[in-house]
Amino acid sequence: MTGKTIVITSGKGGVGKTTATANIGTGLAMRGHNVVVIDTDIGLRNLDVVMGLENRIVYDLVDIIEGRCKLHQGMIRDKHKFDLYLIPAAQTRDKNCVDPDQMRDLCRKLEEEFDYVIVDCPAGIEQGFKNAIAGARDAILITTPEVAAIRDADRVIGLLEAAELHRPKLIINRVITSMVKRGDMMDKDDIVELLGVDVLGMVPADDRLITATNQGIPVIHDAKAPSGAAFSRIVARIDGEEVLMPDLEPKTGILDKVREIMGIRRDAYTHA
Amino acid sequence: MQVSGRGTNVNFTIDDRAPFEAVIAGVEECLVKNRHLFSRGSITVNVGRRIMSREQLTQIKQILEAESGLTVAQFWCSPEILEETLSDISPEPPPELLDEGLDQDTAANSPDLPESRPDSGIPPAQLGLARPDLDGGEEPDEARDSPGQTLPWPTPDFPNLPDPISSIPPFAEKEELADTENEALPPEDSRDAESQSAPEAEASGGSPALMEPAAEISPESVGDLRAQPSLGTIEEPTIEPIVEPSLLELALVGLEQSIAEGGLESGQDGSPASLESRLEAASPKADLKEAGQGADASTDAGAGASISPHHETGGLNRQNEALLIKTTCRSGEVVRYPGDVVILADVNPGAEIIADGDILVWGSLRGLAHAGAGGDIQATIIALNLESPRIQIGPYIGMAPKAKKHSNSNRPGPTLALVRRQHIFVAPFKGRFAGYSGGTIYDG
Repeated sequence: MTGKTIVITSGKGGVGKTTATANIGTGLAMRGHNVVVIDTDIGLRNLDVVMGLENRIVYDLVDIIEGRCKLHQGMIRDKHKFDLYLIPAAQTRDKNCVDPDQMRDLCRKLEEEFDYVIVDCPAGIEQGFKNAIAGARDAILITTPEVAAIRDADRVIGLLEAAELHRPKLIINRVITSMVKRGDMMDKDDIVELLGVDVLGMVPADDRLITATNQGIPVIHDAKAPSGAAFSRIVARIDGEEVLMPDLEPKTGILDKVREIMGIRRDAYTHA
Repeated sequence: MQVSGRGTNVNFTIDDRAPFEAVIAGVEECLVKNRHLFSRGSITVNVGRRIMSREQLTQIKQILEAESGLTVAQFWCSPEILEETLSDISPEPPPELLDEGLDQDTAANSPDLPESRPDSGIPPAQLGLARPDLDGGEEPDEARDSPGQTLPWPTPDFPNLPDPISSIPPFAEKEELADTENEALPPEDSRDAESQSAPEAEASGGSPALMEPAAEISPESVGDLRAQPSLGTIEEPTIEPIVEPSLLELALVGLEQSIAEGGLESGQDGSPASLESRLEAASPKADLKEAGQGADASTDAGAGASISPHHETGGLNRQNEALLIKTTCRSGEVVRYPGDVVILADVNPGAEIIADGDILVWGSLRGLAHAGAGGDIQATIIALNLESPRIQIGPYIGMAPKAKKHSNSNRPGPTLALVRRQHIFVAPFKGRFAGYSGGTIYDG
């Protein structure tokens, strides 16, 4: 079976690529696909921590590419026993020890076995970025609704188009709906106007996501987290389903209405 | 032709009254014979009392550069001559200047006359028969130390010019003229004959000539301006220093020429497929370009035609066809084109458009734009939403004002940016050639 390699990139660091990779990979596996996620951030590996698999690493990406281990020896099966595997990055090397061609060969080999190969791209536009996009057929761009992130995303879109990865899809992460309503934060239309790409989904800012990350469980497992629900919708869209984008407004109860009348501000993040 | 001096202080002296073809032949012959004497370097050519047309100056420059390793950086003539050609309204042309405009017979028949140069210090009475080697004539000096003075901008109000072919016998007047120190007379008659036949666009060609880095300041361009009493956008005199092109600039010329064959360069090594998908050549926008050309023959097309190839962006020839880009210019992308550029999408912050002609953005211009990159200050930048942090037309730069960002409802609308009084002004777009008297200055 031929799978599809999707690279998850952003340009700017810290916008949520690794979190998105973990959640999208888990979500696709939950829907029954064979998925492998690859961490290409050599030297600064994080995907293993987010997925909770950092204590199980024996071999890593560089070992596979340099031939010190077989492909399956370097893949770690996920804790929750879905058909989900992780290839971690090396922590003691750097990004120059992998070639784009080697990455491309690896992705092609993996595509023969898996439905989806999700590649977690490091921040920046240098060698790490070039390695990560080398094998990809599709790209997902992560950004937050901030000017700096949008600027970097724009640059990356240009680079992706130059590398023949046309029409990347956009995930807007860490959306704070109350700020958007006040006009302090860019909304989806502003971002689309600036970047000119289709939106795959929006993920609200969520306390539970931070907790889940620290525990090493992708938040998509958490039924009560709005960010988890958002990732589920995104995964459904990747899988071809048409899912409407709901309003990310948090549900207001009577207490909130009282607060609103009295002028007491809620805290910025949404609650479940 | 006579050669005197040595080392870096060599003088070539040419008979000032010889017809131009003889001058050229003599220069060529001398350079060929003495080829081994010249090494690479840039020189200044002193045209002395001789007022020559642009084509003649170009010819001299080409011969000098072809036959020796020398680069002609600039032409120099003494400022007094320049001023005199501008201000004096006496109708008699000096004899040597008749050579260019009228028959060669006249030159051959002209009696030898004493001439004086204001800076030669030799009183005319002592000269007797003209001796060629005392003339300023044409002196290609090697490595002239003083690179020339800044020439004053010609003042806009010119006197009424007499008939092209003057009926006043030139030779009869010469003795009187020779007695005075300030002898040089404006070569109006011969000039007019030439300048009126020259394209009207030379006028605007003269003005950008002083803005350009490697401008050839020649009295001919000055004379053309005289033929055009109103100079359009030039409203106050400017003194522009003459800048010599460095070897670095010449290298950049070659580099940019090779890059811009395709007309587009992206921030990284763009693959050829993506580059071609972004470029649209000629036909769909030929209408746009022709409409522009037809309507403004006196300004835009003229400015394009009169700027010599040496002064274009990177030394490229000005393209008559506009470059049409239909995809958004992303951050980090640079578009460099020796012509007009039309972008049917946005220009995102971090992108740069550098064009010798106009820049038209059918979208939001949020990146940097430099129109008239070859020195054409008549170029404009038009955008549906002009939000660039910095725009540049010719040599003038405008920074975005610190005004608050407009919300979507009360954006300014299509905006045109142009140069007026040496500043960038933006105004709501009323048409490419409408008069723009208002507008806000774009000055940070």
